[in-house]
This record gives sequence, C-alpha cells and structure tokens, in this order.
Amino acid sequence: MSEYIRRQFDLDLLQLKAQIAQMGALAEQQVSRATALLVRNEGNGKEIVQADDRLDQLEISIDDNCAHLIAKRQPAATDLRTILAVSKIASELERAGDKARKIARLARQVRAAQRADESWYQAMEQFSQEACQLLRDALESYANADAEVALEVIRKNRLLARRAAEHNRAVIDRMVKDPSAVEADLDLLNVVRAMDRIADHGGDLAEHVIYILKGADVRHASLDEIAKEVSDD
Amino acid sequence: MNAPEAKPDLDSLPIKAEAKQLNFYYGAKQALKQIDLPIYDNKVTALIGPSGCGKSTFLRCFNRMHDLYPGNRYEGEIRLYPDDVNLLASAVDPIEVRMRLSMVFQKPNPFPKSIFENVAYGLRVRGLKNRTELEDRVEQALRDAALFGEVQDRLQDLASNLSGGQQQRLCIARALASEPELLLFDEPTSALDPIATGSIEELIHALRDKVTILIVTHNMQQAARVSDFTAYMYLGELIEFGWTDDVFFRPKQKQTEDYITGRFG
Repeated sequence: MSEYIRRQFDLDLLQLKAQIAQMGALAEQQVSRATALLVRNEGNGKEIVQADDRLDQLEISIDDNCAHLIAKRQPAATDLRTILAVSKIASELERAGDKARKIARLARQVRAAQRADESWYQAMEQFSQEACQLLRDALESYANADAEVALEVIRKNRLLARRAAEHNRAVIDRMVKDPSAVEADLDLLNVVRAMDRIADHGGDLAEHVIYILKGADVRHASLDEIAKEVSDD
Repeated sequence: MNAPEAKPDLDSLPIKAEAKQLNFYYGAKQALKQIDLPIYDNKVTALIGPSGCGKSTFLRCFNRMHDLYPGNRYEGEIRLYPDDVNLLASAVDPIEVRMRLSMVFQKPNPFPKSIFENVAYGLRVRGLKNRTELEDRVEQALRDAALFGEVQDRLQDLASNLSGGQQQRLCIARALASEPELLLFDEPTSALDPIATGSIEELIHALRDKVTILIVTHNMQQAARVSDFTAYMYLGELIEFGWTDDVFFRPKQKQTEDYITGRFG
C-alpha cells in the first residue's frame, strides 16, 4: 500500500472515530434528558424521541461507511478489528439511545402513578449519572486506545448491575406485600432495567475496545480472564 | 474466551520439509539469516514480505537454483522428510533434488513444444517410454491442473497458443506430472489477470490434498486466501510464522502488523 493510500485510509478511520464521538455525545445527552424528565419533570418527551431518530441515522451511516471501507481497502489485523468493532460500538450507542427513549416514555406514567418516593428518584438520578459516566469512559477508552480504562468500565458495570438488582428487589418486595398497583410498580422496574441496560451498553462497548486493542473477544469472559488479556502484551 | 476455531496443535502436524539455521550468501552479501521454518505436510505455506526480503531467495534454496551461479553459498540445512535428507548437502546431487520438487515461476514458461509434450517432458526425462502410460499421466496432470477440459481436443497444438492463464496452468500440470513431493510457486499469478489468478488460486487450494506447497507472493490478500500458514520475512530474517488466520488477524510482531496493514516503510 502506498503512503498516500495508507494516509487516505487513516483519514477514513479518523472519520469513523469522529462519528462515534458524535454518536456517543448524543446518546449520553439523551440519557440525561430522559432522566431530567423522569426525576424533575423537566424537558420535552417529543424532543427526546426526535433526537433518537438522529442516533438511528448515525448508526446506519457508520455501518455503511464500515462496509465500504471493507470492500475498498480489504483491511487486516488492527484495521479489520477496528472496523468490525466500530460497527458494534455504533450499535451499542444506538441501543443506549433506545433505552433513554424508553425511560422518557415511561416518565409521565411513573410520575402520574405516584408510586415512587423522593429517594427512588434520587437513586435513579445517581444511577443515570453513573451510567453516563460509564458510557463516557468507554468512549474515552476507544478514543485513546486505552485497554486499562476499558477494563475499569467493565468492572464498574458489573458493580452497577448489582445495584440495579437491589433497587428492583425493594420494588418487588413491595409488590408482594401490596399488589394493588402492580402495573405502576412494573413501570418502576422497567425504568431501572433500562438504566441498567444503558450501563451494560457502556460495558459491552468497552469489550469491543479490548477486541480492537488486544484481538481477543472477551464477550462472556470473566473479569479475571479479561484482566489477563489486557495485561498481555 | 472464544478462539475462532480450534486449530490442531502444531506438534501433531507432520512436517514435509524444514529449514534449519539456514544462511545464504550472494557472494559477500548475506541474503538469508538464520532461518528456521517448518513446511507442514499437505499444507500451503505462503512467504510474504517486501521486495528484497529474501522470500524468493529462500524458495530457490529448495531446488538448489542458486547452484547455477558461482559465488553463492549456503549454510545450514533444508531437510526433506520422511527420509530426512539435507537438500543442501554437497553430496546431494541438485538434479536428484529437483526430481523430487517442482517449481512454477512468475511468468508462464512453456517449452516451445506441443501441449502434450510440455507435460510429458519430465516423464520422458525420467525414462518413461510406454505411450499409454505417458498419455494417462499427461491427462491426469492436466486434470489436476484444471486444464484438461479446455485442451483435450488440441493436445498437439503449440503451448504458446494458449492464453496466459492456461499457459500457467500448463506449467503447473508439467510440474505435477512428475509427482513432486513439494511444489514451489514463485509469484505464480503476478503476470495474470484477476480471472486467471482466481483459477490458479483455486487450483493451489485444491492441490494441497496431493502435495505440499510453498508459495512466494507479493499479494498479501492472495496469501490470506490460499495459505494455511504464513511466514513474514524482512531483510533476510524470518520475523513471524504462524497460522495464516492468526498472522492476518492478530499478528504477534509489530513489524508484521505494520506490513500487512500497509504502514510499512
């Protein structure tokens, strides 16, 4: 490959990176807006739905760019892994955006049903902030090619999953004692589940980053196994 | 941790030939440095690397082509199995070596003879005279080279009347006729168009059931497509050797990575 062609290819890869950054910022914003609507009744559900369309379009555009790069450049090694992973990263961000839309959709019902107390809202706000931070860190691990940061994201996501289970436990216990508002309580469970899935998409995104950097597919691997891959040269 | 698919343990694979501590000198210039490389039986091994890295030099050691020029010097060994003979030993006659190996070159180089005689040539040199047997062996070789169907009605035509891709398949048929143990390809498709290249690649893939193949190629994608193993060479040294899947997807050496992703230089 000539230097000129290689440089063009590097520019194409940079463009993908920029698109991912754009998607990441948008996904995170969606989560924050959905949370504000849920917790403080701030903002507008319609806007959140519209912005989600933008995420969908970006995902399609990134996938299309990836397919064209594969067809034109026949990438190998890191280049190939990057392109395959970028397509998956775009899908994680799109799905994180879907969960934000879901939270926005549930917000009005949850607030109207008045089954949640102030501490639950606070807990959701806190959870949402941490999930957003997770997404940000995962994107940073991709932007900076930092496997250690990616590993930390995966670790934190597993902690958050436990916290989500605790929040749900409390709601389920109440449903058992007082089944008078099962439907409204299910909405609460769905909110927590959506928050937890947003964090999961951050964790999965970090796994794709490790795949790019280390060539190891760490989906479904234990933390110890992942840590070993990350420390391997 | 999921490996794409389990590959057999290398220690369990039979080895057809093996370079051991191989050095080669063009006069004072050292072109190969301490090469250790196994060639696995009934597998395709591709040699890749930038121009001047020594891959063709390495290939040509196998059939002692360097003997043709004074001042060239080998050190180390190339062992051929199962009889464990060192092809480079001075006591070993290069003609004997070439009886066991065949080579196909960059440009098709048919003899100025008929299609039939091109393939029969090596067999005649080996003393085969029986007409029926000759015809059978020629047909089989042409079939193995995926050429018979195209030439069966004109075996007495001049080989030079064939297209470039057909001529190269004829050269492969000629190489196969003598039933070599090891087939050496030196950039066999670099003078061919994509369609002819495709048919040669398909052929190489199919032939590994019959014969062990070592191929030098400038075309990395070709190495990726046709080979089981890939060796990356640079400045006369073997930098990396492994399953082609691994070398192209997760190379161990940064130099290999840079070469196959075009960051080289």
